[in-house]
Parts: sequence; C-alpha cells; structure tokens
Amino acid sequence: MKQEEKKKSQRLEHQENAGGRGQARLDGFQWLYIATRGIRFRPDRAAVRRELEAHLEDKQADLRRIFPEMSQEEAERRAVESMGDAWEVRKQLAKIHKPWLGYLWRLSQVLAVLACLWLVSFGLFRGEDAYLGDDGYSELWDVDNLPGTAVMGDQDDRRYLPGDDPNQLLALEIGQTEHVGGQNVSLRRAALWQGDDRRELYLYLRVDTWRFWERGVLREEWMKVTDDRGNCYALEEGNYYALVTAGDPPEDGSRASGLAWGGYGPFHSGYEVYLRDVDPEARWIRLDYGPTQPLVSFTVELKEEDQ
Amino acid sequence: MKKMRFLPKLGRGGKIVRNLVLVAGLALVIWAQYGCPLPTIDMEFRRMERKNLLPPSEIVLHTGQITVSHSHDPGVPPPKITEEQILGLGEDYAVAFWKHPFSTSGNQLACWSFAEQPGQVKLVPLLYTISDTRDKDWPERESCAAVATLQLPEGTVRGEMTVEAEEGIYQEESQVLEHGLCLFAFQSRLDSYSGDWVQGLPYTLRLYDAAGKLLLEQTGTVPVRA
Repeated sequence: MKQEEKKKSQRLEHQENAGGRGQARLDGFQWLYIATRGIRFRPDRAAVRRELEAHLEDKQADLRRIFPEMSQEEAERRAVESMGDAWEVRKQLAKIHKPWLGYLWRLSQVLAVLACLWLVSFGLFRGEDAYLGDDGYSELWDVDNLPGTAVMGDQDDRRYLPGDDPNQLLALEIGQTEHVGGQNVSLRRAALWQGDDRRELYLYLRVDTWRFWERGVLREEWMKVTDDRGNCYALEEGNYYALVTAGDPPEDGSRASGLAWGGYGPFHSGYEVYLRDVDPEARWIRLDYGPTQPLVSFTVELKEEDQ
Repeated sequence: MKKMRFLPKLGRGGKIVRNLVLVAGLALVIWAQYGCPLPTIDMEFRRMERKNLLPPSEIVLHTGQITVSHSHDPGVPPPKITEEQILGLGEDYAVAFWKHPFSTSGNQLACWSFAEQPGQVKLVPLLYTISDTRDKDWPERESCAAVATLQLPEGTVRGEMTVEAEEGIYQEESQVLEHGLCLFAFQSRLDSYSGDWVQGLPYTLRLYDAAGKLLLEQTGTVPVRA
C-alpha cells in the first residue's frame, strides 16, 4: 500500500513539475496531495494531511450511511468534490503555514539536544562538576560565612566558631565590607588561637559579585599585613598546605603566614589568611590589599575589650 | 484514564520560546564551564582588571599590532610580536596581560608598581616571549624576552638598552612607538624559551633625541615579577 502511494506521489510530482494542473477528476489521494503540497515544512504538511484525510473519510462514511446503495468510488468522488478546489485550498494553506516558524522550532530542538549532549559529554570529561558537591571547597553560595562548604567544611569551622577550647582566644564574626570595582570584598570572620608557643590568627575574606564571569580573586603578593606595634607579617607563597592542615603541622614546624583558597562558587571566592607569631601585645591587625595604594583595608581588633 | 498534565500544553510559538530559553540556559552553563571566554583580548584584559579589583588602565601597548626593532643581524626584517599581549598604564603602576590562546584559566596578569622603581623611566617586562619571525620556519624561530620602557623624557626618539647576563652583554635598540614607549626584544644566547630571563638582570638604558643627543642614561635592575 505504501509503495503504491509512493508511486502515486511520484507521478503527481512529475505531473506538477511538468506544469500540469490537472483539471480531471481527482481521487482522495490526489486531492490530499495537491491541497497539502504548498505547506513547505514537512511535519506540518503531514499533520494537516492527516487532519484533512480524517475529514474526507468522515464525509465518505456519512455519505455511505445516508445512501447505503452508494458505491465506495462514488462516495469518495462526492466527498472530494465537497472539499472544494484542491488548488485553491493549497494556496490558502500555503499562506497560513509559514515554514520559518517550523524551521525555527526544529532548530531550537536540535540546539537543545546538542547543548545537553555537550554538557553531559565534554562537561563531565572536563571534570568541572565542582558544584555537584564532591569538592569540599565549592558551593553555590557561602551560606555559613565560613571557608569550605557548609556540608564538608566542619574541620575549618572549628577555628572560627566560638567554642570552649581554652586555646581559642577570640572568635569574631566581623562582616566588614568594601565595594571595589563592582566587587564586594569583605572580612567575614577572624579567630585568634594560642598555639604551642605562639599566637595564630585566622582571617576569612570573601570576594563576591553577581557578575559570575568576573568573579574576583585576591593575590598574596598584594596583601600587606601590619599591626599597631609596627610588625609586618610577610605572606609567603605556597602555604596552602600549611593553611589547610593547620591542625596538623608538618614535623619541621615550617608553618608560615600565607593566603589560600577558602572556598568558591559561581558568585564568590573565599580566602583565608593565616598569620603565625602574632605579637601578643598587638591591639589590632591591619590588612591592606592592592598593588600600590591599598584598594581595600580592614582592621581587626584583637583585644576583646575593644570590640 | 485521563492523563494528568502538570504543565500547560504549549503551542508552536511556546515550544520555540521554551526550547530557546533552555538552550540559552545551557549555553550559559557551557560558557561558564569554559571560564566565560570573551571574544577579544581587550575585553579579556578589562575583565582581568576587574577580577583583580583594579580600575581600568590606559592601554599603551597592544602587541598584536606592532613590529619591534632588533639591532643584530642588520639588513634582515625586524621580528614581529606574535603573542597577543597588552600593556596598561595605571596611576602609579603598569599591568601586563597575556591572553592564553585556548584557555581563560591560563591568562596572566602582572602588575608592576612604579613605587618600586627609583629611576625616571619605568621598565615593564612583558609576560611572554615574542617570536623572531625573520624568514624562518616555526621550529627555528627565536623567542625574545621583551621589556617596555615607559615615561620617557620629552623629545626621545630612540633608545638603547643593555642587559648584563652571565653569558655576556645584550644590547638592543628601539624607536619610540605609539604612546611614547620603547620596546626592547632580547634574544637569549642560551636558547632560553622563558620569557622572564631578563628579569633581575642589571641594565643600562640610554635615550636619544632626533639629533642623536643623549637625553638620559639610567641604570638599575630589570624588575622581577612577584
């Protein structure tokens, strides 16, 4: 049956290409073919054809029901006649069914599928699934004002949250914020601890912006740390290990001051400043950040009575 | 049984809008995944400035567009800078920016503070080597480390710079380029492909006017990137 329809279609197409506008009697198939041929977007053409075909069949069935003695061919002829001039219908349908909307729809489908495939394949190969929760330093937003993620950062939280450890001398939730170049730079927390033989200060800073494509960064070499007693704390490069393992210092005791990542997300970057050998007499510590003149400055009062 | 519908049935237009919104969202995620690359080096440079909390600087050198002088092997065409780099001039500092050809995470920005340079003329080493393109195939091309000099005295038309390395003295010259700076390209005799081998070396800079009169002689050490 399909083969037969295909042959018929080819014949009609050939006839149409030769410029023939058949005036002879059309059967149902020919009528449908001609009427829907003006619709250029194929899925639309098929849908309209199905609808008209159902309509034609209904008419035939009605005729056969009203006139039971009527032959199948006669019923089809009458039904086709009642549908109107196929060429006129074709003109009207072509006018209504603009192809570009259909093409745009198809294109949007293809693009959506391609984008999904790209994300699933290349995205996973790149290993950039940080926000899915398998990275202790990434989260969508810094909900707890603490370095690391709210779920996995409990080891770091211990330093900043007030507790009953006698070695914890101070735990402050500061929240000083400065606005620089569209970025909010803020000093979120500070914690002063008594180490074995020296005082250690932890500071948690956050840079955030809604413009995720230019999420801010802090550079260790631009951070200057001083106190009221004239001490200057040098931040040494590459102390990430010393910082993240603060509870478990290397055997050689080589824990230097430094700046390290303290969590990140699409809209924020967290940093931790770790200072060793904080002067016990120091009343405040000052952070100046910038390549030359400070772009941002924060002061942390270290004496509890000053808060 | 009647099928439950949780979402309204969309027409053709609605489906197109829905699909395009979905595509835009996914494209945004993909763009973010690749580090939000921007189409031009200038835009990348500005973004790097904002990421580093710096105010916008004045762009004084765009290496993709210039040819540098090169004193040795006279008679052969001078080398062209092929690596895209930008030099910006801030209030009391300069920023050098190198755009990685493929990855935004590889982009580099260095800031050179003028406060740390005592002389009148400020030196800014570029971040990446530049290629000596004199009629050689790529593997045989020489890489040069480049140093820009800024804030030249008025009337300067030409400069000479010597750098004292362990293997000997390098001497290069440069005409004053647009924005009043000179750019010296040093080709290492040790086949060093590192762009920073001149950093930390003692230098002598001589600047001349159109009549060939010496306007300024300055000595010091080529600044080292922190």
